[in-house]
Amino acid sequence: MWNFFEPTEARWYGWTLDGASLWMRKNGEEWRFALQSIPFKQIEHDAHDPDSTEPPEAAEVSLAVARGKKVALRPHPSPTPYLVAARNEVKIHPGTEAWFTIALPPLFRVELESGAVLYEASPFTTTTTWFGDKTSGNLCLSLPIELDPECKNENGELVDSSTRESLERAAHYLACRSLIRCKIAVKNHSKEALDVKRLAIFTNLMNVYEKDDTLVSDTVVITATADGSLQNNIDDAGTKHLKKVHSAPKSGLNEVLIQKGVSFLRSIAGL
Amino acid sequence: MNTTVLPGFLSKLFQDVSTPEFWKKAIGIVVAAALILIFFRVLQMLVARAMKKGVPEQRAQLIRKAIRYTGWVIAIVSVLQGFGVNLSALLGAAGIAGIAIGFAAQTSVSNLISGIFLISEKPFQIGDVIQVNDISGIVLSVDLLSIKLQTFDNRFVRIPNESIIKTNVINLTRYPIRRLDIMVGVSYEADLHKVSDVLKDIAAKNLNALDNPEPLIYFDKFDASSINILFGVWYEQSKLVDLRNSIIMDIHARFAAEGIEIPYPKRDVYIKRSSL
Repeated sequence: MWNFFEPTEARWYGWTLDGASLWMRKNGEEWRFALQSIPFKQIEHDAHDPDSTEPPEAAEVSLAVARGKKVALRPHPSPTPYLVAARNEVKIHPGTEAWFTIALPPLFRVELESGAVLYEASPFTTTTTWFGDKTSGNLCLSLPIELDPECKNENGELVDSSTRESLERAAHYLACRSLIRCKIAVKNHSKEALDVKRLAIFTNLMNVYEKDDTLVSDTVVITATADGSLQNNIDDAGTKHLKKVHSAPKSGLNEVLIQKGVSFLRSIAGL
Repeated sequence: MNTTVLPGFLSKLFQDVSTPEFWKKAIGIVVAAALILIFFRVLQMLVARAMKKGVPEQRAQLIRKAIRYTGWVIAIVSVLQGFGVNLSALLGAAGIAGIAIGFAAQTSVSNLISGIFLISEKPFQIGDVIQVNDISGIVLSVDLLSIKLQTFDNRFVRIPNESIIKTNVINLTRYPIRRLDIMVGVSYEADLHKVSDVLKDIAAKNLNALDNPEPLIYFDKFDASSINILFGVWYEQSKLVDLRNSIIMDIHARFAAEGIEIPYPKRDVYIKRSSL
Protein backbone atom coordinates (compact mmCIF):
# COMPACT_ATOMS: atom_id res chain seq x y z
CA MET A 1 0.00 0.00 0.00
CA TRP A 2 2.92 2.32 0.72
CA ASN A 3 5.21 1.02 -2.06
CA PHE A 4 6.25 2.87 -5.20
CA PHE A 5 4.38 2.03 -8.39
CA GLU A 6 4.31 3.36 -11.93
CA PRO A 7 0.91 4.84 -12.74
CA THR A 8 -0.50 4.60 -16.25
CA GLU A 9 -0.71 7.93 -18.02
CA ALA A 10 -3.96 9.91 -17.88
CA ARG A 11 -5.69 7.48 -15.56
CA TRP A 12 -7.13 8.28 -12.13
CA TYR A 13 -5.96 6.15 -9.21
CA GLY A 14 -7.62 6.13 -5.82
CA TRP A 15 -6.44 5.07 -2.38
CA THR A 16 -9.08 4.05 0.13
CA LEU A 17 -7.91 5.16 3.54
CA ASP A 18 -10.34 3.82 6.13
CA GLY A 19 -13.20 6.04 5.04
CA ALA A 20 -11.17 8.83 3.47
CA SER A 21 -10.11 8.82 -0.18
CA LEU A 22 -7.18 10.21 -2.08
CA TRP A 23 -7.02 10.37 -5.87
CA MET A 24 -4.13 10.89 -8.26
CA ARG A 25 -3.73 11.25 -12.02
CA LYS A 26 -0.50 11.54 -13.98
CA ASN A 27 -0.33 13.20 -17.37
CA GLY A 28 3.29 13.56 -18.45
CA GLU A 29 4.80 15.97 -15.93
CA GLU A 30 1.42 17.06 -14.62
CA TRP A 31 0.12 15.40 -11.48
CA ARG A 32 -3.40 15.98 -10.21
CA PHE A 33 -4.59 15.15 -6.72
CA ALA A 34 -7.87 15.24 -4.86
CA LEU A 35 -8.83 14.39 -1.30
CA GLN A 36 -11.99 13.53 0.52
CA SER A 37 -11.28 13.82 4.23
CA ILE A 38 -13.43 12.57 7.09
CA PRO A 39 -13.58 13.37 10.81
CA PHE A 40 -11.32 11.00 12.72
CA LYS A 41 -14.29 9.74 14.74
CA GLN A 42 -16.01 8.52 11.57
CA ILE A 43 -13.15 6.30 10.51
CA GLU A 44 -14.14 2.97 8.95
CA HIS A 45 -12.03 -0.13 8.83
CA ASP A 46 -11.37 -0.27 5.08
CA ALA A 47 -8.07 0.52 3.43
CA HIS A 48 -6.54 -0.87 0.27
CA ASP A 49 -3.95 -0.36 -2.44
CA PRO A 50 -4.44 2.23 -5.17
CA ASP A 51 -6.93 1.18 -7.82
CA SER A 52 -7.77 2.55 -11.20
CA THR A 53 -10.93 4.51 -10.53
CA GLU A 54 -13.40 7.11 -11.69
CA PRO A 55 -12.35 10.76 -11.35
CA PRO A 56 -13.44 12.44 -8.13
CA GLU A 57 -16.68 14.37 -8.49
CA ALA A 58 -16.90 17.03 -5.83
CA ALA A 59 -13.35 17.09 -4.49
CA GLU A 60 -11.08 20.04 -5.17
CA VAL A 61 -8.21 19.13 -7.49
CA SER A 62 -4.60 20.23 -6.81
CA LEU A 63 -1.92 20.27 -9.46
CA ALA A 64 1.82 19.64 -9.26
CA VAL A 65 4.36 19.67 -12.04
CA ALA A 66 7.36 17.37 -11.70
CA ARG A 67 9.32 14.80 -13.64
CA GLY A 68 9.05 11.25 -12.34
CA LYS A 69 7.81 7.78 -13.11
CA LYS A 70 7.21 5.97 -9.86
CA VAL A 71 5.20 7.38 -7.04
CA ALA A 72 4.14 6.26 -3.56
CA LEU A 73 1.81 7.36 -0.82
CA ARG A 74 3.81 7.67 2.38
CA PRO A 75 2.41 8.14 5.88
CA HIS A 76 4.13 10.59 8.24
CA PRO A 77 3.30 11.52 11.82
CA SER A 78 1.90 15.01 12.13
CA PRO A 79 4.49 17.63 13.14
CA THR A 80 1.84 18.94 15.54
CA PRO A 81 1.91 16.81 18.71
CA TYR A 82 -0.97 14.46 19.44
CA LEU A 83 -2.82 14.64 22.72
CA VAL A 84 -4.78 11.83 24.33
CA ALA A 85 -6.67 11.80 27.58
CA ALA A 86 -7.05 8.92 29.99
CA ARG A 87 -10.57 7.51 30.20
CA ASN A 88 -10.36 7.54 33.96
CA GLU A 89 -7.54 8.83 36.05
CA VAL A 90 -4.61 6.45 35.76
CA LYS A 91 -2.43 6.25 38.84
CA ILE A 92 0.99 4.71 38.36
CA HIS A 93 2.64 3.75 41.58
CA PRO A 94 6.37 4.13 42.27
CA GLY A 95 8.43 1.42 40.61
CA THR A 96 5.68 0.38 38.19
CA GLU A 97 5.04 1.13 34.56
CA ALA A 98 1.97 1.35 32.41
CA TRP A 99 1.71 0.54 28.73
CA PHE A 100 -0.73 2.09 26.31
CA THR A 101 -1.31 1.48 22.62
CA ILE A 102 -3.05 4.11 20.56
CA ALA A 103 -3.70 4.79 16.88
CA LEU A 104 -2.37 8.06 15.46
CA PRO A 105 -3.79 9.66 12.32
CA PRO A 106 -0.89 10.40 9.97
CA LEU A 107 -0.61 13.00 7.30
CA PHE A 108 0.05 11.53 3.87
CA ARG A 109 2.51 12.64 1.25
CA VAL A 110 2.61 11.53 -2.36
CA GLU A 111 6.32 11.23 -3.07
CA LEU A 112 8.51 10.52 -6.06
CA GLU A 113 11.44 8.14 -5.81
CA SER A 114 13.73 11.15 -5.61
CA GLY A 115 11.99 12.11 -2.36
CA ALA A 116 10.21 15.10 -3.90
CA VAL A 117 6.81 15.67 -2.32
CA LEU A 118 4.05 16.19 -4.88
CA TYR A 119 1.12 16.45 -2.52
CA GLU A 120 0.47 16.48 1.22
CA ALA A 121 -2.85 15.95 2.93
CA SER A 122 -4.44 15.08 6.26
CA PRO A 123 -7.40 12.85 5.45
CA PHE A 124 -8.55 12.54 9.05
CA THR A 125 -9.66 15.78 10.64
CA THR A 126 -9.42 16.27 14.38
CA THR A 127 -10.12 19.15 16.69
CA THR A 128 -7.25 20.96 18.34
CA THR A 129 -6.43 21.33 21.98
CA TRP A 130 -3.97 23.18 24.15
CA PHE A 131 -1.30 21.44 26.20
CA GLY A 132 0.02 23.80 28.82
CA ASP A 133 -1.23 26.81 30.69
CA LYS A 134 -2.88 29.85 29.14
CA THR A 135 0.35 31.76 28.67
CA SER A 136 2.50 29.12 26.99
CA GLY A 137 2.31 25.58 25.75
CA ASN A 138 1.73 23.57 22.61
CA LEU A 139 -1.11 23.34 20.18
CA CYS A 140 -1.96 19.65 19.81
CA LEU A 141 -4.25 17.48 17.76
CA SER A 142 -6.94 16.20 20.07
CA LEU A 143 -7.53 12.49 19.55
CA PRO A 144 -10.93 11.10 20.50
CA ILE A 145 -9.17 8.06 21.92
CA GLU A 146 -9.18 7.27 25.60
CA LEU A 147 -6.10 5.85 27.20
CA ASP A 148 -6.62 2.47 28.79
CA PRO A 149 -3.49 1.04 30.33
CA GLU A 150 -2.13 -2.45 30.30
CA CYS A 151 -0.18 -2.09 33.55
CA LYS A 152 2.56 -4.25 34.84
CA ASN A 153 2.02 -5.08 38.51
CA GLU A 154 -1.58 -3.91 38.29
CA ASN A 155 -4.59 -5.90 37.19
CA GLY A 156 -7.22 -4.03 35.25
CA GLU A 157 -10.52 -5.83 34.95
CA LEU A 158 -13.42 -4.89 32.76
CA VAL A 159 -16.23 -4.08 35.10
CA ASP A 160 -18.69 -1.97 33.18
CA SER A 161 -20.08 -1.56 29.72
CA SER A 162 -18.52 1.88 29.19
CA THR A 163 -15.05 0.40 29.71
CA ARG A 164 -15.82 -2.35 27.23
CA GLU A 165 -17.18 0.17 24.77
CA SER A 166 -14.08 2.34 25.14
CA LEU A 167 -11.79 -0.63 24.57
CA GLU A 168 -13.79 -1.72 21.55
CA ARG A 169 -13.52 1.77 20.10
CA ALA A 170 -9.75 1.76 20.68
CA ALA A 171 -9.51 -1.68 19.04
CA HIS A 172 -11.50 -0.37 16.08
CA TYR A 173 -8.98 2.43 15.55
CA LEU A 174 -6.04 0.04 16.03
CA ALA A 175 -7.38 -2.24 13.30
CA CYS A 176 -7.26 0.54 10.70
CA ARG A 177 -4.37 0.08 8.27
CA SER A 178 -3.91 3.75 7.53
CA LEU A 179 -3.36 4.73 11.17
CA ILE A 180 -0.05 4.46 13.00
CA ARG A 181 -0.01 2.13 16.00
CA CYS A 182 2.00 3.77 18.72
CA LYS A 183 3.04 2.15 21.98
CA ILE A 184 3.58 4.39 24.97
CA ALA A 185 5.34 3.29 28.14
CA VAL A 186 5.02 5.45 31.22
CA LYS A 187 7.58 4.45 33.83
CA ASN A 188 7.45 5.80 37.33
CA HIS A 189 10.93 5.82 38.86
CA SER A 190 10.00 8.57 41.30
CA LYS A 191 8.97 8.17 44.90
CA GLU A 192 5.42 9.41 44.46
CA ALA A 193 2.43 8.02 42.61
CA LEU A 194 1.97 9.48 39.15
CA ASP A 195 -1.49 10.51 37.97
CA VAL A 196 -1.79 10.43 34.23
CA LYS A 197 -4.69 12.44 32.86
CA ARG A 198 -3.46 13.64 29.50
CA LEU A 199 -0.44 12.70 27.41
CA ALA A 200 1.13 14.72 24.62
CA ILE A 201 3.00 12.71 22.02
CA PHE A 202 5.76 14.64 20.27
CA THR A 203 6.83 13.17 16.97
CA ASN A 204 10.25 14.76 16.32
CA LEU A 205 12.14 11.54 16.97
CA MET A 206 9.51 9.08 15.89
CA ASN A 207 10.11 6.70 12.97
CA VAL A 208 7.27 4.87 11.26
CA TYR A 209 7.57 1.30 9.96
CA GLU A 210 5.49 -1.20 8.05
CA LYS A 211 4.68 -4.36 9.97
CA ASP A 212 2.37 -7.09 8.65
CA ASP A 213 0.44 -4.64 6.52
CA THR A 214 0.03 -2.17 9.36
CA LEU A 215 1.91 0.99 10.36
CA VAL A 216 3.79 1.06 13.64
CA SER A 217 5.98 3.65 15.27
CA ASP A 218 8.84 3.55 17.72
CA THR A 219 7.78 3.19 21.33
CA VAL A 220 7.41 6.46 23.22
CA VAL A 221 8.90 6.11 26.70
CA ILE A 222 7.98 8.67 29.35
CA THR A 223 9.94 8.30 32.55
CA ALA A 224 9.27 10.05 35.81
CA THR A 225 12.72 10.14 37.37
CA ALA A 226 13.74 10.00 41.01
CA ASP A 227 14.61 13.70 41.04
CA GLY A 228 11.04 14.57 40.08
CA SER A 229 11.69 15.43 36.45
CA LEU A 230 10.01 13.88 33.46
CA GLN A 231 11.89 12.48 30.47
CA ASN A 232 10.51 11.64 27.09
CA ASN A 233 12.46 9.42 24.73
CA ILE A 234 12.05 6.95 21.92
CA ASP A 235 12.77 3.23 22.06
CA ASP A 236 13.37 1.57 18.69
CA ALA A 237 14.47 -1.81 20.00
CA GLY A 238 11.36 -3.63 18.86
CA THR A 239 11.06 -1.92 15.49
CA LYS A 240 14.64 -1.64 14.24
CA HIS A 241 14.34 -4.65 11.93
CA LEU A 242 11.14 -3.42 10.24
CA LYS A 243 10.83 -1.63 6.91
CA LYS A 244 10.94 2.10 7.53
CA VAL A 245 8.37 4.28 5.79
CA HIS A 246 9.12 7.51 7.64
CA SER A 247 12.39 8.69 9.14
CA ALA A 248 12.30 11.04 12.10
CA PRO A 249 13.32 14.60 11.23
CA LYS A 250 15.74 14.56 14.16
CA SER A 251 18.45 11.95 14.48
CA GLY A 252 19.54 10.15 17.63
CA LEU A 253 17.00 7.49 18.38
CA ASN A 254 17.56 7.28 22.09
CA GLU A 255 18.32 10.93 22.52
CA VAL A 256 16.49 12.37 25.50
CA LEU A 257 13.81 14.65 24.20
CA ILE A 258 13.36 17.73 26.33
CA GLN A 259 10.30 19.45 25.02
CA LYS A 260 8.59 22.59 26.11
CA GLY A 261 5.52 20.52 26.76
CA VAL A 262 7.28 18.25 29.17
CA SER A 263 7.09 20.79 31.95
CA PHE A 264 3.36 21.02 31.40
CA LEU A 265 3.08 17.28 31.23
CA ARG A 266 4.85 17.27 34.52
CA SER A 267 2.41 19.70 36.07
CA ILE A 268 -0.58 17.97 34.53
CA ALA A 269 0.66 14.57 35.54
CA GLY A 270 0.81 15.89 39.09
CA LEU A 271 4.49 15.29 39.75
CA MET B 1 38.08 87.33 -1.29
CA ASN B 2 37.71 89.59 1.73
CA THR B 3 37.87 87.18 4.69
CA THR B 4 38.07 89.71 7.51
CA VAL B 5 34.36 89.42 8.35
CA LEU B 6 34.48 85.58 8.70
CA PRO B 7 35.26 83.72 11.97
CA GLY B 8 38.95 82.92 12.56
CA PHE B 9 38.91 79.26 11.51
CA LEU B 10 37.00 80.05 8.32
CA SER B 11 39.39 82.88 7.40
CA LYS B 12 42.31 80.48 7.87
CA LEU B 13 40.50 77.86 5.83
CA PHE B 14 40.02 80.22 2.89
CA GLN B 15 43.65 81.30 3.09
CA ASP B 16 44.91 77.70 3.09
CA VAL B 17 42.60 76.38 0.42
CA SER B 18 44.92 77.31 -2.42
CA THR B 19 47.95 75.54 -0.96
CA PRO B 20 48.80 71.91 -1.92
CA GLU B 21 49.34 71.03 1.80
CA PHE B 22 45.72 71.86 2.48
CA TRP B 23 44.48 69.41 -0.13
CA LYS B 24 46.81 66.71 1.15
CA LYS B 25 45.41 67.29 4.63
CA ALA B 26 41.83 67.41 3.34
CA ILE B 27 42.23 64.07 1.54
CA GLY B 28 43.69 62.56 4.73
CA ILE B 29 40.77 63.83 6.79
CA VAL B 30 38.16 62.57 4.32
CA VAL B 31 39.86 59.16 4.14
CA ALA B 32 39.97 58.99 7.95
CA ALA B 33 36.27 59.92 8.18
CA ALA B 34 35.40 57.30 5.55
CA LEU B 35 37.39 54.67 7.46
CA ILE B 36 35.56 55.59 10.67
CA LEU B 37 32.19 55.23 8.88
CA ILE B 38 33.24 51.92 7.32
CA PHE B 39 34.42 50.67 10.70
CA PHE B 40 31.10 51.54 12.33
CA ARG B 41 29.18 50.05 9.42
CA VAL B 42 31.05 46.76 9.80
CA LEU B 43 30.57 46.92 13.57
CA GLN B 44 26.85 47.48 13.04
CA MET B 45 26.63 44.46 10.73
CA LEU B 46 28.55 42.24 13.15
CA VAL B 47 26.45 43.30 16.11
CA ALA B 48 23.25 42.83 14.07
CA ARG B 49 24.33 39.31 13.16
CA ALA B 50 25.20 38.52 16.77
CA MET B 51 21.86 39.86 17.98
CA LYS B 52 19.78 38.04 15.37
CA LYS B 53 18.72 35.20 17.65
CA GLY B 54 18.80 36.40 21.21
CA VAL B 55 17.75 40.07 21.12
CA PRO B 56 14.21 41.29 20.36
CA GLU B 57 13.90 43.10 17.04
CA GLN B 58 13.11 46.55 18.41
CA ARG B 59 16.07 46.50 20.80
CA ALA B 60 18.31 45.29 17.99
CA GLN B 61 17.04 48.10 15.79
CA LEU B 62 17.82 50.65 18.53
CA ILE B 63 21.34 49.31 19.05
CA ARG B 64 21.98 49.34 15.29
CA LYS B 65 20.85 52.96 15.07
CA ALA B 66 22.95 53.94 18.11
CA ILE B 67 26.06 52.46 16.48
CA ARG B 68 25.33 54.21 13.18
CA TYR B 69 24.79 57.62 14.78
CA THR B 70 27.88 57.22 17.00
CA GLY B 71 29.89 56.55 13.83
CA TRP B 72 28.54 59.69 12.20
CA VAL B 73 29.21 61.84 15.28
CA ILE B 74 32.81 60.61 15.55
CA ALA B 75 33.37 61.10 11.81
CA ILE B 76 31.98 64.67 11.86
CA VAL B 77 33.98 65.59 14.98
CA SER B 78 37.15 64.19 13.36
CA VAL B 79 36.55 66.20 10.21
CA LEU B 80 35.92 69.41 12.14
CA GLN B 81 38.95 68.87 14.34
CA GLY B 82 41.06 68.10 11.29
CA PHE B 83 40.11 71.44 9.75
CA GLY B 84 41.02 73.23 12.96
CA VAL B 85 37.52 74.06 14.16
CA ASN B 86 37.45 74.92 17.87
CA LEU B 87 34.99 72.33 19.15
CA SER B 88 34.79 73.63 22.72
CA ALA B 89 33.33 76.92 21.48
CA LEU B 90 31.03 75.00 19.17
CA LEU B 91 29.88 72.71 21.97
CA GLY B 92 29.28 75.71 24.22
CA ALA B 93 27.14 77.30 21.55
CA ALA B 94 25.41 73.96 21.01
CA GLY B 95 24.65 73.77 24.76
CA ILE B 96 22.93 77.16 24.72
CA ALA B 97 21.12 76.25 21.52
CA GLY B 98 20.20 72.93 23.11
CA ILE B 99 18.40 74.63 25.99
CA ALA B 100 16.47 76.82 23.55
CA ILE B 101 15.64 73.86 21.35
CA GLY B 102 14.73 71.80 24.42
CA PHE B 103 12.03 74.30 25.38
CA ALA B 104 10.76 74.34 21.84
CA ALA B 105 10.86 70.57 21.48
CA GLN B 106 9.29 69.45 24.73
CA THR B 107 6.93 67.06 22.93
CA SER B 108 9.74 65.41 21.03
CA VAL B 109 11.79 65.01 24.19
CA SER B 110 8.77 63.56 25.97
CA ASN B 111 8.31 61.12 23.10
CA LEU B 112 11.99 60.26 23.22
CA ILE B 113 11.92 59.47 26.94
CA SER B 114 8.65 57.56 26.51
CA GLY B 115 10.33 55.61 23.71
CA ILE B 116 13.17 54.61 26.01
CA PHE B 117 10.63 53.43 28.59
CA LEU B 118 8.73 51.50 25.94
CA ILE B 119 11.86 49.77 24.71
CA SER B 120 12.96 48.83 28.20
CA GLU B 121 9.50 47.80 29.44
CA LYS B 122 8.67 45.76 26.31
CA PRO B 123 4.85 45.74 26.53
CA PHE B 124 4.85 44.60 22.90
CA GLN B 125 7.29 43.67 20.17
CA ILE B 126 7.53 44.04 16.42
CA GLY B 127 4.96 41.72 14.86
CA ASP B 128 2.55 41.82 17.82
CA VAL B 129 -1.02 42.94 17.28
CA ILE B 130 -1.93 45.76 19.63
CA GLN B 131 -4.93 47.96 20.27
CA VAL B 132 -4.47 51.58 21.26
CA ASN B 133 -7.79 53.32 21.87
CA ASP B 134 -9.80 52.51 18.74
CA ILE B 135 -6.80 51.66 16.56
CA SER B 136 -5.56 48.11 16.25
CA GLY B 137 -2.88 46.74 14.01
CA ILE B 138 0.43 44.95 13.64
CA VAL B 139 3.47 46.68 15.15
CA LEU B 140 5.90 47.49 12.33
CA SER B 141 8.53 49.35 14.34
CA VAL B 142 9.16 50.75 17.80
CA ASP B 143 11.26 53.88 17.35
CA LEU B 144 12.48 56.51 19.76
CA LEU B 145 9.74 58.99 18.89
CA SER B 146 6.83 56.86 17.77
CA ILE B 147 5.57 53.41 16.96
CA LYS B 148 4.30 52.48 13.54
CA LEU B 149 1.34 50.20 12.98
CA GLN B 150 -0.16 48.55 9.94
CA THR B 151 -3.90 48.33 10.51
CA PHE B 152 -5.97 45.41 9.25
CA ASP B 153 -7.54 47.56 6.54
CA ASN B 154 -3.96 48.29 5.43
CA ARG B 155 -3.44 51.81 6.72
CA PHE B 156 -0.16 53.07 8.11
CA VAL B 157 -0.54 54.63 11.55
CA ARG B 158 2.12 56.51 13.50
CA ILE B 159 1.41 56.82 17.21
CA PRO B 160 3.66 59.09 19.33
CA ASN B 161 5.32 57.22 22.18
CA GLU B 162 3.95 59.72 24.70
CA SER B 163 0.40 58.67 23.78
CA ILE B 164 1.32 55.02 24.21
CA ILE B 165 2.72 55.65 27.68
CA LYS B 166 -0.35 57.65 28.75
CA THR B 167 -3.04 55.31 27.46
CA ASN B 168 -4.07 51.67 27.86
CA VAL B 169 -2.44 49.38 25.34
CA ILE B 170 -3.89 45.93 24.74
CA ASN B 171 -1.50 43.36 23.35
CA LEU B 172 -3.78 40.99 21.51
CA THR B 173 -1.11 38.43 20.65
CA ARG B 174 0.98 38.23 23.81
CA TYR B 175 -0.50 34.86 24.76
CA PRO B 176 -0.82 32.00 22.28
CA ILE B 177 -4.46 31.24 23.04
CA ARG B 178 -7.44 33.53 23.66
CA ARG B 179 -11.11 33.24 24.46
CA LEU B 180 -13.81 34.47 22.13
CA ASP B 181 -16.85 35.61 24.12
CA ILE B 182 -20.19 35.49 22.38
CA MET B 183 -23.41 36.67 24.05
CA VAL B 184 -26.25 34.36 23.10
CA GLY B 185 -29.85 35.18 23.97
CA VAL B 186 -32.47 32.44 24.21
CA SER B 187 -36.19 32.74 24.80
CA TYR B 188 -37.75 32.21 28.22
CA GLU B 189 -39.40 29.05 26.90
CA ALA B 190 -36.06 27.39 26.07
CA ASP B 191 -34.82 24.35 28.02
CA LEU B 192 -31.59 25.73 29.48
CA HIS B 193 -30.04 22.29 30.05
CA LYS B 194 -30.55 21.52 26.40
CA VAL B 195 -29.14 24.92 25.40
CA SER B 196 -26.04 24.23 27.47
CA ASP B 197 -25.56 20.79 25.89
CA VAL B 198 -26.07 22.16 22.38
CA LEU B 199 -23.52 24.94 22.94
CA LYS B 200 -20.97 22.41 24.26
CA ASP B 201 -21.56 20.23 21.22
CA ILE B 202 -21.17 23.19 18.85
CA ALA B 203 -17.78 24.00 20.41
CA ALA B 204 -16.72 20.34 20.32
CA LYS B 205 -17.48 20.05 16.61
CA ASN B 206 -15.87 23.29 15.51
CA LEU B 207 -12.35 22.59 14.22
CA ASN B 208 -11.16 26.09 15.11
CA ALA B 209 -12.21 25.81 18.76
CA LEU B 210 -9.88 24.27 21.31
CA ASP B 211 -11.35 21.56 23.49
CA ASN B 212 -8.89 22.41 26.24
CA PRO B 213 -9.35 24.86 27.99
CA GLU B 214 -13.00 23.91 28.01
CA PRO B 215 -15.57 26.34 26.65
CA LEU B 216 -17.25 28.59 29.18
CA ILE B 217 -21.03 28.63 29.47
CA TYR B 218 -22.22 31.33 31.83
CA PHE B 219 -25.88 32.18 32.30
CA ASP B 220 -25.62 35.92 32.54
CA LYS B 221 -29.03 37.44 33.25
CA PHE B 222 -32.76 37.60 32.66
CA ASP B 223 -33.04 40.34 30.11
CA ALA B 224 -36.10 42.12 28.72
CA SER B 225 -36.82 39.57 26.03
CA SER B 226 -34.23 36.83 26.53
CA ILE B 227 -32.08 34.91 28.93
CA ASN B 228 -28.52 35.93 28.11
CA ILE B 229 -25.72 33.38 28.07
CA LEU B 230 -22.04 34.10 27.77
CA PHE B 231 -20.48 31.47 25.52
CA GLY B 232 -16.67 31.63 25.71
CA VAL B 233 -14.67 29.50 23.27
CA TRP B 234 -10.89 29.21 23.39
CA TYR B 235 -8.89 29.40 20.19
CA GLU B 236 -5.35 29.62 18.93
CA GLN B 237 -4.74 33.32 18.27
CA SER B 238 -4.40 33.04 14.47
CA LYS B 239 -7.87 31.45 14.16
CA LEU B 240 -9.95 34.40 15.36
CA VAL B 241 -11.68 35.23 12.09
CA ASP B 242 -12.30 31.60 11.15
CA LEU B 243 -13.71 30.81 14.58
CA ARG B 244 -15.88 33.91 14.88
CA ASN B 245 -17.44 33.38 11.47
CA SER B 246 -17.94 29.66 11.80
CA ILE B 247 -19.20 29.54 15.37
CA ILE B 248 -21.85 32.22 14.87
CA MET B 249 -23.10 30.37 11.80
CA ASP B 250 -23.00 27.10 13.76
CA ILE B 251 -25.03 28.57 16.63
CA HIS B 252 -27.60 30.06 14.29
CA ALA B 253 -28.04 26.85 12.27
CA ARG B 254 -28.01 24.51 15.23
CA PHE B 255 -30.46 26.55 17.32
CA ALA B 256 -32.81 26.63 14.34
CA ALA B 257 -32.48 22.84 13.94
CA GLU B 258 -33.02 22.20 17.66
CA GLY B 259 -35.97 24.59 17.87
CA ILE B 260 -34.23 26.98 20.25
CA GLU B 261 -35.51 30.47 19.65
CA ILE B 262 -33.10 33.40 19.60
CA PRO B 263 -35.49 36.21 20.53
CA TYR B 264 -35.21 39.81 19.53
CA PRO B 265 -37.13 42.78 20.89
CA LYS B 266 -40.67 42.68 19.57
CA ARG B 267 -43.50 45.14 19.94
CA ASP B 268 -47.09 44.13 19.54
CA VAL B 269 -49.22 46.97 18.18
CA TYR B 270 -52.97 46.86 18.84
CA ILE B 271 -55.07 49.08 16.68
CA LYS B 272 -58.02 50.34 18.59
CA ARG B 273 -61.03 50.83 16.38
CA SER B 274 -63.24 53.59 17.57
CA SER B 275 -66.93 53.04 17.04
CA LEU B 276 -68.35 55.72 14.82
